[in-house]
Amino acid sequence: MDKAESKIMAAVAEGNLSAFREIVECYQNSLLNYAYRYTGDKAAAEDIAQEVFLRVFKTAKDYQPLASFKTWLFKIATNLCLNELRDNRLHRNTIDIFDLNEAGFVALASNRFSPEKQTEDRQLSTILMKALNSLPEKQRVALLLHKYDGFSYVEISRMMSCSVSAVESLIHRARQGLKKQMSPYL
Amino acid sequence: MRACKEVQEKLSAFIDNELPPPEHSLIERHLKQCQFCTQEEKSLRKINDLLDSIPDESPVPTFASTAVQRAAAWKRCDYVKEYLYMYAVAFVSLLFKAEYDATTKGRYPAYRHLRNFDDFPPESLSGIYIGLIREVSK
Repeated sequence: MDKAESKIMAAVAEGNLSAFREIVECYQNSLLNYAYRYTGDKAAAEDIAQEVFLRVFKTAKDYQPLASFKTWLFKIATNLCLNELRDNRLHRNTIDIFDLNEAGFVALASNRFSPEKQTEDRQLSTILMKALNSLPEKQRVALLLHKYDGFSYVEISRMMSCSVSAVESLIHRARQGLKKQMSPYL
Repeated sequence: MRACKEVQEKLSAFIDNELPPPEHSLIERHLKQCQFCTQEEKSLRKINDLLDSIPDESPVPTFASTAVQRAAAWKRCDYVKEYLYMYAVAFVSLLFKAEYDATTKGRYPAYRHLRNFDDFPPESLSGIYIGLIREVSK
């Protein structure tokens, strides 16, 4: 919706609800998954995504077509996610050594003796989500924006109001952190 | 040749193809010669692959409708607030005008001579207000 987005946003700014629905339908998946990977909680992620869309509707008049709509949308989402954590409204999942060992044992066991690859994958995703959630918030935001939403380092630096080299360092430290926590599975 | 530590700091950006071409080829060359950094690059790529394994979540089917309903409710609320504000401003302006007219037309003495609350004429709005306050605080 790159070319049409400024027209759609102009309609949204005038209070057009069907134009707003078009935006919601276009971005609901990516936004929900961004919030989900950030919070590790689907209900909280849905709340955040709903709040982001409501803010888009409320502030549609402030949208400048010079900036990419997706960047603007994810900037709102990032601010909301960071605020949610600061307000301690979200339960933060931190990785637990016991959890990791127990899950690690299960994963290894299923690898050798069980054909249930799906269960194993689900367990691994859960552990990975926990590891992701235990990363410092800025590292997590930078990594998620790049990995899952395809933003370049330059775009992320604009969204997070920092330099490109800071983004480079955040993403690198995020991967290092994950590597450390996920070493039994690598 | 670059020091390994310096190369490793750039490995994430290298994997993500975010380095300028000259820097990218320098690291590529270094990786061909350094076993240790190649190992590090491989483990970072594995982390990337692991991240791909997190499945996508789908929004509930009513997600878009809920978002539109919330926006519609806010829009209605916004109109009501806007009209309430307009009516409130109009009402306060009328009150001021009524007080001003009553004073200038000499229906009760000008306020500039007032020294305390008791001096407000009892039939003026201010007099009625002060009377009510007194009643309530009794």
